[in-house]
Amino acid sequence: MSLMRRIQNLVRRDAVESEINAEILAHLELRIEDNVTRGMTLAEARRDAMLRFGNTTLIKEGTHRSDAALTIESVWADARYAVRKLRNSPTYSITAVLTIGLAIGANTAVFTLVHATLLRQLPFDEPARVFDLDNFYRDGLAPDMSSKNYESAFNAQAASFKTIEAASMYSSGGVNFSYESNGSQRLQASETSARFFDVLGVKSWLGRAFQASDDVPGNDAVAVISDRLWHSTFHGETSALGKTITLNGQTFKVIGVMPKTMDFPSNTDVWTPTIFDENTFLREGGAYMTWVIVRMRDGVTPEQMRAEFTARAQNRNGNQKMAEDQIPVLSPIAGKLTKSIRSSLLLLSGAVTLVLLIACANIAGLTLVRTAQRRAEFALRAALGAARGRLVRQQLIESVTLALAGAAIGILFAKLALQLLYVFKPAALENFPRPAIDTGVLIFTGLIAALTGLAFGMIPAWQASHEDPATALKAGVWRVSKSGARLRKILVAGEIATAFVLLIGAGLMMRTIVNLNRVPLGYETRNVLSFSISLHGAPYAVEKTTPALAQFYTNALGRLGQLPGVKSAAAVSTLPLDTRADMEFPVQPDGTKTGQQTAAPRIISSGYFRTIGTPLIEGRDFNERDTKTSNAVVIVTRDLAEKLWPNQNPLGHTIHCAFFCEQNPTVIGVVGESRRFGPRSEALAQFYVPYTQRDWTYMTFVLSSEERASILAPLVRSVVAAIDPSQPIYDMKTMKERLDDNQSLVRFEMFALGFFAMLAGCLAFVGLYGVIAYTVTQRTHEIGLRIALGAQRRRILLAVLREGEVMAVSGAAIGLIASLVLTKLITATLYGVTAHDRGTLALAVLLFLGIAFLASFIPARRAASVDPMVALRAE
Amino acid sequence: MAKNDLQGTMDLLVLKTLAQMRELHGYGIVLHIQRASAELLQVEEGSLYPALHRMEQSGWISSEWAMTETNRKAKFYKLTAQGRKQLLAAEESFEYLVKGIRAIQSYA
Repeated sequence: MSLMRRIQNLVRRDAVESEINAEILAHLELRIEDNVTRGMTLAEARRDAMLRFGNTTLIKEGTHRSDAALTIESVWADARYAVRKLRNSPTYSITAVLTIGLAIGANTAVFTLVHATLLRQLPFDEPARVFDLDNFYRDGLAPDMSSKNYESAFNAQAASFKTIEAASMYSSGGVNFSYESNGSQRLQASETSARFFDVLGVKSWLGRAFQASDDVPGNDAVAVISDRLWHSTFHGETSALGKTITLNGQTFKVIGVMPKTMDFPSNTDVWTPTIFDENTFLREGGAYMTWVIVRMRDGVTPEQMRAEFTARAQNRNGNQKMAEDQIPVLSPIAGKLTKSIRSSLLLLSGAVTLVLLIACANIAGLTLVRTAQRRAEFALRAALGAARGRLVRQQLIESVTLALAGAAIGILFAKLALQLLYVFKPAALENFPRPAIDTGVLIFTGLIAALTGLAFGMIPAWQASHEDPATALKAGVWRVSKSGARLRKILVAGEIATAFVLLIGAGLMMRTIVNLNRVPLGYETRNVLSFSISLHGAPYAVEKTTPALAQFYTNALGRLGQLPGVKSAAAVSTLPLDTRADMEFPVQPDGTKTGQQTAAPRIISSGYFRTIGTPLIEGRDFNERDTKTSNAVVIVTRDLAEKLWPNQNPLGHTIHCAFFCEQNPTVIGVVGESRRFGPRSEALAQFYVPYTQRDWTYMTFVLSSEERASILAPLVRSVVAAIDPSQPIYDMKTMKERLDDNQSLVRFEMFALGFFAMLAGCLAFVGLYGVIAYTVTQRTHEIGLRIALGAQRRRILLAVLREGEVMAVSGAAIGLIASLVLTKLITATLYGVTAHDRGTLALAVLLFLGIAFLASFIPARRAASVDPMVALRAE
Repeated sequence: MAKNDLQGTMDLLVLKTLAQMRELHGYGIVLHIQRASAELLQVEEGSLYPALHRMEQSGWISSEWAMTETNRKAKFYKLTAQGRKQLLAAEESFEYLVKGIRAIQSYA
């Protein structure tokens, strides 16, 4: 048959069918004609023709089968048949589809997340050659700020290394951004050296990136902006190039736009080549971090590069043995970016894999039962003449249909799971683009589901096609074999063990969070709203002696304090739980050199301690009499006071430190300690000076309120805008939100483990119930016999319950041992509990025994209430 | 094995018939085989049409609708060049089969 005819046959089933009909009809007619010619009557002739021919229907089908190459039409028929059969056994179908959906959904969600973060393709050229350099002071590739032209010094040093082709320094922080009269907003900006983009291997999308001459002071008033900023401020127009933008009161010319994928350092919107420039100081405050990145030369190995850097450092160190923190460390940039999130995501992946295993075990169990039940049906159909190939194909189509339906549900579930994971996300996840379920993922999931369906369908299909119909049709053979039943029980025990491990993990996490919440912080986190502001622009320049800075704060505090619902308002230079860098200064008591301690300086307003909830233990708070012209005063934390003046009253003593305490301020008050970095950290020694005595360009305001603090947010903006609309406020959060962010990692892990433990528990419950229920159904006959012979119903109930408990106990035992080993993985995150915590373990065991009891109870009840008459009659 | 042999034999008969008679419809093939074998061979009509369609799929025969002598429409089959080759091969393997069986039968 020609190729065209074959292709036509694929599609035009009706045409083919009618042609076969016509051919067979013609055959019969011809014979009838001959018979009539030979002398039969029409009726006899027809009967003879039909008899000789045989079963026309079967022959038509057989002929039709020989025709088409690929019976697409019959695949569709098989699919419809599969759906009908699945609809007839809803328990099986729904259980299977939901189980598959759950497994696929959870795994897709986690995989999408891991793919967007750990496996992300960095937008750099050959990212494997980009390294982050730590401890760089030792090898000379350092920002030596003391030399006059240190940008050339840095670049000369970089050029002198043989194993790298480029090096760059960069620093990152917030800036006030404004463009023409568009109002001002707070953005993240990066100050870099000229070769920054060369090291990374990133080309500009529009305009140019930096060139070598750009980081010479005087030449460096240029900026490269991000794609996001280009669209939001310049509407994506090429006329953006050459425009002037203002950062922290200084002007820069836009020379280029970065591509959309460029996001290094995270969330950066502007890059300027000003890191070596004393005059620009986009960096705010005293403390800022600088980092160095290098690009390894082509053909050089990382070991060679590390050797050169270590040798240099050794040289500068005078060939003495170097301490660990003196050795330069070169880490691949990809690892550095994912470091904060890696262990959490690995934990997540591990947990979801366990859930997948449990789901697979359940599906295996379901398949075993289904196979056993269908054996009789297959045998019958084979005996009636169905082709083996057709039976196999039909079984495969059924399982693939099931798998695809499960996959569809799985995708919906994955979307939901991703959104949930993001509600509890660790703060570090903000540095990555948000993952979405795109077409690639959908196609991949569909393929995996189809393959799974084929794999699971193969077993019963293969078995059915090799069955001898005679033996299969014998009574009772539709039960699962002995070994099959035992396999199911082992699977269920395994499921229980796995779910147990997850539950222990979740329980330990929960106890950790409870313990963390109990830690006294030294400040209040309820009903306190905070926001930050950085004052830039001519009136606020610190060199001037105008009191503009102090006036702004006084003004703002006055108005904020009068907002409805505000109990008190105050300001501080660095708030507890602030995620930016902190600085510590050496502090000397009473002008002596001995007894020096380190402490962090804070510039505050009066009323700060009252607002933030830190107790004033001795002395007094600052007030309006502490001005530039009066005596310099300082308040210290109790731990600092005890270190500086052990067993003495600190009031009246003085301290000295660089910059903040050059006038040797007198201690007038002592306040309680605070854990500046959150519940896991120790108290940080701090000293406080009033803003009326020390001008400071950035502050974080705190407002304590009667009710929920977040409702004050819109009022706050308008108050500040009324004073000076050119200064944007940023980072508006309640203290509770800051605390949540501080603990976001452990919260995330608890949520993830808890969620998956719940899923695992449900699946294990279903698995256990399935096994027990099936056993009861199988042995209904036997139970009926026993009852008829006089067995007590109670004994039967207990026997079934015991069967369930045996599985639960063995599962819990295995789970217990496994958890003792596996929970060591999360020891670092735990707080206040050990991995072997007996209370949690005992609770988990009890919980599982309870769940097992519940799962066995319903079938047990059914077993105990079997009516012997009905049971014995049926088979 | 039995199944395959029968199928092969049917193929051989049909191909030979068409080689001798050039063009025939299904019923005609049945009659010819009956007649030419002196009533020794009766074709099972039920398995004829699946076989014809299968052979057409394999490209050994080609078909077209035409009118019979009695002015009925019927599907006529014809041997193709590939079919002729297949006929030679089938005849050869049939010879071997017969020789083999004869050899075993005469083995004492």
